[in-house]
Amino acid sequence: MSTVLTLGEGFGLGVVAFTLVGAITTVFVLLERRVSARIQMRVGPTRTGPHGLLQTIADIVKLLVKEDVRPEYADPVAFRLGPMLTAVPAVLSFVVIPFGAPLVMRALNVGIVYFLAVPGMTVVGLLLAGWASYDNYSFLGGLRSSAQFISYEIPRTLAVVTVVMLAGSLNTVDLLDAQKPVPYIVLLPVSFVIYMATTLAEVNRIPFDIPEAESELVAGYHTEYSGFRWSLFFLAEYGALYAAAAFATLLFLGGGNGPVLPAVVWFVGKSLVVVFVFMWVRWTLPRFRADQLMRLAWKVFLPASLVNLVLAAFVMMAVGS
Amino acid sequence: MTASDVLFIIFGVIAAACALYGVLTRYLLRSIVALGAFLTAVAGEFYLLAADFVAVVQIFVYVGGIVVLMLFALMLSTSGERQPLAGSDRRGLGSLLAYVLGGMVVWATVGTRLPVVPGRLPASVPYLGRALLGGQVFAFEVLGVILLAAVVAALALVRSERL
Repeated sequence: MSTVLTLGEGFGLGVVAFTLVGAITTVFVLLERRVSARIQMRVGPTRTGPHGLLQTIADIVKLLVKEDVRPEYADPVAFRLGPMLTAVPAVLSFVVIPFGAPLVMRALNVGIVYFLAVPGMTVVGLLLAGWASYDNYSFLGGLRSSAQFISYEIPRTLAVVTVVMLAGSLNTVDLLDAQKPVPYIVLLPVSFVIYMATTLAEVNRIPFDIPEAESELVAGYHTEYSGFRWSLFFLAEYGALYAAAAFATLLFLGGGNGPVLPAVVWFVGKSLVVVFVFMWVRWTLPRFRADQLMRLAWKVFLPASLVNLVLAAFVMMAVGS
Repeated sequence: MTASDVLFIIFGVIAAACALYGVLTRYLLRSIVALGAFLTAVAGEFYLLAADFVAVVQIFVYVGGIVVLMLFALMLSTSGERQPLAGSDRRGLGSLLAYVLGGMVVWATVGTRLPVVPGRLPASVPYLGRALLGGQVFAFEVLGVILLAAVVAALALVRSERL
């Protein structure tokens, strides 16, 4: 495979990835509304289309035709840049997801580091959006989300390092081959738990949704946004949610490995289960306070992931020799 | 000229433009964002030069870490106000230093004869790993100690302010 795609191929992949994120968001918003409704003994949207299936389509039309409002004192450049910089990394992380043999956009040699690195660029967008809005709620939301993101990134990366150590490769496709006999959730259960919990924090979901806690901050960094710009934040959120679930599938659940059915079906099926777990957690648990959140990251997850890393290294050495 | 060469030039132009804008603008926030764009473009150059690991780490550490920290510091400090910065009275000294440094970089780049490897390079990660924990392990550890010292010093500064 050549290092560089032709510009046409690159553009094509970009369009595919963006469409994918759009489709995923559309489906997941509906799914989330139905799942939350069931958990709370309601029925959720049922009127638009059969079983309410067209509800998000209607929502999208509403969002796209809304007036584009910008607060008078908002910084014009940063206000526009914020949503874009938030959505683009979410789309970019789809490039390395190995759905199955023909459906890997790029099998980078450093796919796993890429996946950890690229969503980190989101923080720049969140900070800019919060700051540019010139509004205390937005500003606090932006600061909180980036503080949270940076804190939870460290234990999350350390949890992924144990997987990389065991597989001996940073390539997403090699990782799947290494999990052929037994998925890593069996061998590295602690890493899996740390990964799942810190991922919830990274994608800003309850119990870690302090940045946009409605009861305190209205809507956090996207308080002042509406219409299409606001929907970009939504794309980023659900795109990142699916990407994170897909990576949990890849890192711990053996990706597309499975009997009879083709790999794509296994991969998508497993990742949808992970997405469902994320939604289930969101609608079951209450939210943490900001200081509890930070204490949890630095005093529980960080030491736990360090101990886990050292233990894993020792066990691997002992078993290996 | 291949697509790779064209992209290399495009990224180079973007990097240079962002670097210039970052230095010339009077708005601190814009210059930090320009720095982020510059670092991303440089990551693109690394990728085109078959250093994919360095490219990704560049984004991980610099864009996701350093730039975010700078934005954070800017927003939490008083200079986060939206006024343009006043010009500095040490411009002469600064530009002199910049010219000297730039001259050194150009001299070192032009004067060094780099070995040419025909064909595709093998994956760079194993080589980097062995070099960092093998021949270069001393430099690697010293860097770790320096970073630790910086963290401790920062904590000490914050503490003494509180007391």
